[in-house]
This record gives sequence, structure tokens and C-alpha cells, in this order.
Amino acid sequence: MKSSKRTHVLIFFIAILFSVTGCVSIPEPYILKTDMLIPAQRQSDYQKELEFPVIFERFIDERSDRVAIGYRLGMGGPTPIAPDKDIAEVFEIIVKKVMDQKGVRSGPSIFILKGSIQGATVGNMPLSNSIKGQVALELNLMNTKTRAKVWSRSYTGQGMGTDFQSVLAMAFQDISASIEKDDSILASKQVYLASGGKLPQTSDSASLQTSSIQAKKSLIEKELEDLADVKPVINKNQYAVVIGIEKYRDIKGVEYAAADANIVKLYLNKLMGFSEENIVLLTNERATKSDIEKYLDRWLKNRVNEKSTVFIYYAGHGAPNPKTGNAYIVPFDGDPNYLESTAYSLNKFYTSLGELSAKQIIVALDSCFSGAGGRSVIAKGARPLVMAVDTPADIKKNTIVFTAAAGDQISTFYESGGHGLFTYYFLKGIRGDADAEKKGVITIEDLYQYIRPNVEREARLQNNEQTPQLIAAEGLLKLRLISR
Amino acid sequence: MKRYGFMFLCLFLIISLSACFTYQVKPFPINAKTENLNIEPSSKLPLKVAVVVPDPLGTRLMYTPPKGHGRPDQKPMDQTDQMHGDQVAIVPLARELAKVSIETFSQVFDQAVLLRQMPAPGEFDSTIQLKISNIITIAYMESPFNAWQEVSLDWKLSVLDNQGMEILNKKGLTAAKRLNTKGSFSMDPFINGMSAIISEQLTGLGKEWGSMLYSSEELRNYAKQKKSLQK
Repeated sequence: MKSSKRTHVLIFFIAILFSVTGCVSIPEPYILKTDMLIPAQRQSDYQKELEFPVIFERFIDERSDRVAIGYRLGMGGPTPIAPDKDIAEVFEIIVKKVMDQKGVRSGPSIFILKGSIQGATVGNMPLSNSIKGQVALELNLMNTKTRAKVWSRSYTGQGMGTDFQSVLAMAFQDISASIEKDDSILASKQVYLASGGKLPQTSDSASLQTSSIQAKKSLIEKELEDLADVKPVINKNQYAVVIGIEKYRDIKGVEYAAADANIVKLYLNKLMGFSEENIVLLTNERATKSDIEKYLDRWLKNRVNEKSTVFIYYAGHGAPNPKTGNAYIVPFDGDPNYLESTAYSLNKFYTSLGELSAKQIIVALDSCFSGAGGRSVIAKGARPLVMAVDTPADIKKNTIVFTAAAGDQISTFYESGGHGLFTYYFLKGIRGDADAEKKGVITIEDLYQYIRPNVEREARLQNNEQTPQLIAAEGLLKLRLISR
Repeated sequence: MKRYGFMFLCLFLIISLSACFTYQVKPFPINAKTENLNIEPSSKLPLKVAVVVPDPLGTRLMYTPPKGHGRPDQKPMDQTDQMHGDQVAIVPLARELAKVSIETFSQVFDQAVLLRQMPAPGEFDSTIQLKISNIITIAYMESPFNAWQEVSLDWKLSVLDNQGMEILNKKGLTAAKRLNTKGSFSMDPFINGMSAIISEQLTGLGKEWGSMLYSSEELRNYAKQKKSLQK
């Protein structure tokens, strides 16, 4: 009997040992933010002429371990280091940027540029603070007509330091510099032409030569040239604040956001009768937190009366606070890690609008607040897959809000249209497409009925789900936005 | 002695539970293989196709708990939001799917190019969109020492013509594979078992899709149509 009790005690001890081992033997993976690994693009006033177009294929990761990029050796055993996204995407972005500078740009072509990732590792030596990182890539240019390999090169990059993130970023910087230095790919132009490859005609070529985001001319922008002679009927009692942040001081930018804002301003003036001096346009470095506060909290209040119409447009990053679930507009100088002090709260935004004595306020937000990507960001280390951000309760009855996506979705851009997806259809709708019956009038309801299915369809084509939302009191649905 | 026994039991429970709560998942070593379809290069379908695999795939994790755990019937629950972002990052489903699909479709089509986003209309003869919509796991438990999950993948494949119109749309569910989940103090058997199953299923899917597209009447007719137009 005594020996049986002893056995029980022994079993308990063993169980405890196993439990404790369970606690310490599976350390948390160390997650690297891939957005921070991409070297900043050098700004150049000189846009090199197009040498030849290529189809950029998605790079293939040929490493045997395609999840972890290394192990952090510590007292609790090795901790896997994993990137938060596909590391191949970092290589792709770098190669596209460097090739763009060389004049090798994405477009219909008989050449395909393939990349295979041969290495991406970062790690420290046992009991040492010194960290080493290495990346290796092989690039191949294939001729789809002859099926021959036209050009092939291998590149490596290295980094050293005391922080995993910055060491790997250094390695990527190094590989980027190696590719930049090597112009051997340009010799393939002769092969391209000899194999019957065509260089785009002047108009196509122009669009390929200016393929960088800032220089890209969008479809609507082209349409807008037709509006040059339109003489708008100005209503002096309409005020607008238009914000578009494409470049951020500390975080990754938002494609097309500044271009979107510029065109929204033009549409407000040409099609909706806002006088130019009543539209404030804040883009990129002009859209700091204090700029946004100044115009939303004070400039509007000083001008708006009970007969005014107010229009607010925002394209840029949104962010959720993972602790409180509150949503924030991220200004140019915003930091997702310190939202409360560096960003503009959506609650404050609606409260501020609620204090205006305007007849009606129209808000269009081409942003999202889920923290799941697209036009939204989240603090480092915060890990919600998707945050469903609640709509603030204090939206007043005179306010109409269009949002690009539902609270738990991401808003994306429309590459071929050169706009945020929501903004593209918002503008097309205002331009006249939302007037299905050609009655010369576009109401809030018409516009929403036009935007929603088009955005949903286009998002599905990109394998995304994006459903624009409309928040408006029933009486405002018939409000005429455009009347011709 | 009884008192000590009780104390040990309490301690054991507390520590076991704390071990459960502090468990962190490590990367899933998914490694799918590409099967050889034995298609002669001269008999490939004469189409230039884009294969679009977004990353992440937006896959949902549907978990059905075992019967009797406070639930009289087995109803599936969406567990995706229970997984935090990092876990999604360490389950490299899209990466493996991209690799296996391009290697397979290169055997089927004259030219296959892997993309992250939809190409511009007209750039390719055809576009193949792939999606793993759900990882479906159904749990069974006869006793703490005899528990398992059946795992399958719910997939969708659509083929669009060069103007974005759908010419083929297929959905399916892979055959369920059994993963033993009986009591263990380590997550390793679960992670390795799940990875092995997903790897095996992706390998099988690659082969299934390749064979299906190769024998698809719709695609053959479309290829003929394209050829006659080119003439």
C-alpha cells in the first residue's frame, strides 16, 4: 500500500515536470515585419526611358524551410523567427523597384522575369548578441517564344548587427544595391527585339515609362481632361476638407491616396459646385495630425452655418486600437504603436462634425480600420487577424457616411484604374454612371446602389471581400448630390 | 499523506492548465510536393495562362467540436478569428499552394505564369484563380486517450477567359484525413500531424487540378477557338 502511494507521488512529480516543460519548451515565434524590410526608394527626378517590358512572375521560394527564416538562440531553447507575410514578396518589391529604375518595367511582353529565393536567414550565435543575416536570389529572364533562358544572375546580400529586424533589412538593402549595380539585364534588349518583341506605341510606352505610382495617370484623370471647359455653378456655402496620404513619414504608404484626393478636389469643384477657396486639400506631408485637427476642428467651425453643406474625404491608413477597439485616422506623422497621441480618433472626428451647425455633412472614407492590411495598419506586436471596428454611435442625423469597406474588411486599390477601389467607383458614380435612368439627378441612394455592387465585383476579382457601407438617416437617402 | 496527495493534485492541475494557456504555436512545416502528370510537352494545352494565388489566401478555419462537450449536436464553428495574425503568417498555405500549382500547371499549359493579382484583360489567354476557402476539422473523442480530428480542405477553382468571363468553375472537398489528437503535453505532434495532412492534401490537389484542367472539354474548346482566331 505504501509503495502504491509512493508511485502516485512519483507520477505526480513526473506530470509536473512534463507540464513545466510544456511551459518553456515552445517559445513564441519571433515575427518580423516584412514591410520594414523594404529599402526606401531613392527619389530621382530622372525617369529612365523604357528599355523593354517584362512580365514579373511571382517569385518562388526554393528554401527547404519556407516558414522560419532562422532561430533565436536563448536560454529557453531556439525560438523560430518567421516573417509576418510571404518573404518572397519583399524580394519582388525590391526587384520591381530596381528594374523600374533601369527601364525594365511590367507590361505585356515575350519576356518573363522569374525569381527564385535561394536563401533568407537571420540568427544569432549561441550566447552572443551578434546577429547575422543573409539573403540570396536568382533571377532568370525567359523568352516565351523560344523558351530559352535569355539572362540569369544570382545575387546575395548580407547584414550584421544586434537586432533581427534591422539585420535582415540591411541584408535586403545590400542585395538591392547589388542588383542596382548590375546592368547586364539591359543587354537582353537586343534579344527582345530580335525575337519579335515589340516596344509599346508612344501612348502605351508613355504609361509604362511613368509606371511609378506618383506618375501614373489614372483613367478618371484622363476623363477629367474633358471637364476642363466645364463652368461649374458655384455655391459659396459649401465647404470641403479633402485628405489623401500616399506617403507616410514612418510607415508604408497607401497607393493612389494623394492622387485620389487631388481628383476628388477637382470633382468637387467642377461637378458639385464647391468653390476652390472653400476646399482644403491636405496631401502627404501637409496632412500631419495638427493640420487635420486645425481644419476639421477649427477651420470648418469658423465658416459653417446652418445652410452649409460640408464634404469630408479621407484616403489613407486607418488603424484600430487593439485594446479598446476604437478606430483612428492615421495622419502623415502617425504611428500605429501610439495611436492615442499620434492619430486622429474616429470618435473625435464624428463628435467634431456633430458640433457643426451644417445642413448636411457628407463623409467619404476610403480607408479601413480592421488592421488586416489594405488601407489599414496595426501596432507592432498586435495580433488580431481581423478587428471588427464598431461604427461610432454619435453620428448626427445630418451626416451621411460612405465607407470603403465593412468594419472587418480591408479596402483595396484598383490597379488598372489607378485609384482606391472605392474612390474609383465613387468618382465614376458622381461623373454620371450612378444616374442609371439618365434623369440628370444623382441622389445619395443612387450613388450607393452604384458603388456597392461594382466594388464588390471588382474586389472579388482580386480575391477580396469589400462591401462599401452607407450610414445615413432615411430622410437623407434622396438628397440630391448632383443635379444637372 | 492524503493532504500532500491533494496538494500535489492541485499543483498538478494549476501547472497543467497554465501550460495549456501559455502554449504558443510554432511554424507549420507544410511542404507540398508536385506530382508528375506525365504529359508530353508537345501535347500541352496551347494556352498562355496566368495562375493567380493571393497571399494570404483568406482561408477560414472551421472546427466542429466533439459530441457531448456541452453541445448535443456537432455544429461547425468558425475559429479563424481565434487564430491571431502571426499564426496565419506561420501557416504558409498560400506559399505552398502557389508553388505546387505553378509547377503542376506548367506541365498542363504551354505557358503558365504565377501572379499575386489579376492580370490586365487581354494579357493572358486565360486566368486561373485558386482558393482554399476553408480548412475543415471535425473532432471526435471517445475518451481522453482516444481522440482524433478529421481534416479536409474546401477548395474553389475558376478559369476565366482573356476578358475575365468565367469559362470553368469547380468546387470540391478533399478526402478527410485522420489526425490523432489524444492527450499530449506538447503541441509538436499536432503541428507536425496537421502539416503532414495539409501537405499531402495540397500535393493531391495539385494533381487533381492538373488532370482536371488537362481533360476539361471547356478548356480544349476554348484553346481551339483561340487557335482558329489566331489563324
